[in-house]
Amino acid sequence: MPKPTASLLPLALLFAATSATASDNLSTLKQMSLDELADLRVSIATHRTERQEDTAAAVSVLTAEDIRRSGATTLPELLRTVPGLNVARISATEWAVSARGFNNQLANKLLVMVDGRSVYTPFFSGVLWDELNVVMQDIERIEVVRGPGGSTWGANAVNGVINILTRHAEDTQGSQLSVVAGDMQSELVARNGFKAGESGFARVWAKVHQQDRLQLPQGGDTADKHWRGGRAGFRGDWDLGPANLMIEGETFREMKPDEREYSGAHLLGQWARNTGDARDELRGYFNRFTLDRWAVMGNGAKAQLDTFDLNYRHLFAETGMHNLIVGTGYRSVRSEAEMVPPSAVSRANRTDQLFSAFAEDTLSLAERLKLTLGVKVEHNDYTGIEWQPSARIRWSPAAGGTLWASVARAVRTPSIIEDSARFISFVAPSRLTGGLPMSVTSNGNANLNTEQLTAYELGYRIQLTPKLSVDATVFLNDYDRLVTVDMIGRPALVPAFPSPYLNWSAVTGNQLQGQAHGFELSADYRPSETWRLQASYAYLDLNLKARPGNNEITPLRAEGESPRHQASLISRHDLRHDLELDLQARYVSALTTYAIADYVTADLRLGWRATSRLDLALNGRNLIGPARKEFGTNIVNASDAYLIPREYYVTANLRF
Amino acid sequence: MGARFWLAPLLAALVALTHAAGPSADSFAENDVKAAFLYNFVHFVRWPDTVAHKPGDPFRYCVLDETLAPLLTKALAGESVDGHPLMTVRQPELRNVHECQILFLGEQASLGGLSQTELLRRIASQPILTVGDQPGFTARGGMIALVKKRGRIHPVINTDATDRTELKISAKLLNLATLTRDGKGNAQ
Repeated sequence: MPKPTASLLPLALLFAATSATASDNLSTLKQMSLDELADLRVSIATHRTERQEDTAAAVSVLTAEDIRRSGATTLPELLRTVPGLNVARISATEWAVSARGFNNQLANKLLVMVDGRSVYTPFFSGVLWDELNVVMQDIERIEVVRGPGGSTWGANAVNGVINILTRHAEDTQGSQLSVVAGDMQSELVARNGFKAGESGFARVWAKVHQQDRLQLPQGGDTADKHWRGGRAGFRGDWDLGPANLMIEGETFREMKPDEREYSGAHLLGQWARNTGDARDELRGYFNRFTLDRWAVMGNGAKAQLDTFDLNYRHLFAETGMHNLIVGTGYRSVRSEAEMVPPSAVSRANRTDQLFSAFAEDTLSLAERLKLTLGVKVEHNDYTGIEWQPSARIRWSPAAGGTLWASVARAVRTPSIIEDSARFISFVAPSRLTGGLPMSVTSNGNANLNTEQLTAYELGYRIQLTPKLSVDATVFLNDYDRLVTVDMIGRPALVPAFPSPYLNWSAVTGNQLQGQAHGFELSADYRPSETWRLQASYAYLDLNLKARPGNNEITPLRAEGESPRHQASLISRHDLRHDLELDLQARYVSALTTYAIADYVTADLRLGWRATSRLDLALNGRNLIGPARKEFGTNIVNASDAYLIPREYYVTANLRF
Repeated sequence: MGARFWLAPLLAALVALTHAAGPSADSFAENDVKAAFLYNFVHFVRWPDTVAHKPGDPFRYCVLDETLAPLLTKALAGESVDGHPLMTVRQPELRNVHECQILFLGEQASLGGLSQTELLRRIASQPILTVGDQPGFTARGGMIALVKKRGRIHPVINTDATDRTELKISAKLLNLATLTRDGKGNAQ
């Protein structure tokens, strides 16, 4: 005979489940902030627009309001507010930005896109943050994924993906003038939005800016340089009945005299059509990036990359338990590169093609249990066919919260430089070189393989009370075939007269492997409608080991290039209807590779709404402690790291 | 024997999981979102001090819309700001309209036989936040229109209308909204 309790339990469980669902939509909505409310889709049957709490990945979203309140004038400074990202400033123009380790000025495991256009350069693998000098006021949202995204976005989405989406032209109607003026930087942005035909909207914009050079640390040898640049562009959006069309374009020039100069332009078109519950999306763009000048450590380069990209996706209507998306893509990158002798590129003119196909199916195993299986297969001209599969499962128990787990594979393809460039670096005489100068010649390797990651993640997020939500992620990343610079043999003495020197050759290889594990915690607390607190902590442990045969001088360098601990506290407080006080404090632990000590610092912003059309804000950055280096210098990232000072600036935003 | 003890709760849990669909995460009713916006406005608009009545006096949301009124009543239940309980007033009289802090006008709604434009003109200088949900509402002199735009509820603010009163709208709300002026026709 079963005991009474055993038969009561099912009933009790059912009751718990139904009472949890009785918490209605309205009370959920009341907990949301204004910007969250404005971002909600209303009465749309589609399940395609997933909310952050529904995804089986470590995702953070920055809204336009988050961006405005951060006071940030550049993307990397803004990304400092994202839990789990590591941002270190290096010079006036350079930042190191990464997630879950491998941070570097040339961090190559983070894929960054603007409106679906990749701004990750295949020239050296990485993102030039000073090229990506977007108009902050025109960003709708930024989605940051920590962890691999290869099954959706393809190669190079290894440690994370940053997806920047600009505002729909309908949301930027009217004119706006924005000014930044401070002791270290200034900026002017003008924008005008207007109707474009019966069913469309458009905006045109222009931006000019300058950033002062940073101070040289004691013992540094090359002074930083002043950075300035300008850009202009447009975006138009048209509603064509069941279809939408978006076209945008931009042209820019960024200059840091005698060190780096870029120019470029792009044109992007995006078309989408809903047919019932199904959807077709087509996107194409042309992007020209010209490296007019690049000079570091005696090496110089010029390059021009023309990228043409075409992408199609079809989202099927949900059938039974399946929710299927398929897609295909083509990209060609035509590059011309030229290096200052004795450095050289062996394949100076090349056209690399990338063919890709992907499929993703979300299976509703039960009402609250979903499994997403995805795979992207690509063919690239460097390493041939690459498979990037993923499996993600999420369970949303009736009691609340979402528990998710995933396993995914991602790869990074070799860059043009790693594949075919020859660099000569000069090392000053030291005890290690026997008092002689040394020249190091590193050669590209056309047989280089992709870097590989298999990542395992587990996460949980829950709204604990109407005012408090928490998010936790644990990860284990297993890397193989990481790219190294392997020294060949011993240094050879070149008996030149009158000054003999040592010569040492190196070649790029895939001689490093290892694991990263860590966890990320964040909490969002809203004591009232006008006050929001966000706290986060991230822990990272990176353990690399060289494969037998590796002779890189510092193969384990990356272990100490990312902090083990990071913590942040953000407070956004509306003091009165016309005053906003924002605090962003952060702790970053030491970088052992560069002997950089841990630090705590904070940024403050006081915003004042002067009239209904004019906002002013006073910003202070790096307010705690003296000017300090946030990153280091080595032969790989080449240029000096400078002291990041305290800085003040005012921003004004006028809409008319 | 033992297996059955395990089976019963497991089955129940599965039943609960498959049948207890919660509020749909990505689709909310339009009027619920509008009610949530209205609830929020009290925090992001400042009324002049002369409106500050005695502690305990209610903060009045006057609603001329039969669909929205019950939702708003539900949203405001038990809420207060600075000691003023938030309350809904359905169908206020024209002579009492000055007691409203927020006035929501549905599509055809008006008071005392006045057209919406006339009503809005008559109370134009009073510290009453006028809110509607028709695209033409701001062109008629209303302050905030909650319009549907690309599947979302979007606030459009006529800053000429708000600037005629002592009401001050916060930067957060202004930056989120599309701004328009008198005589700009329908807000986009």
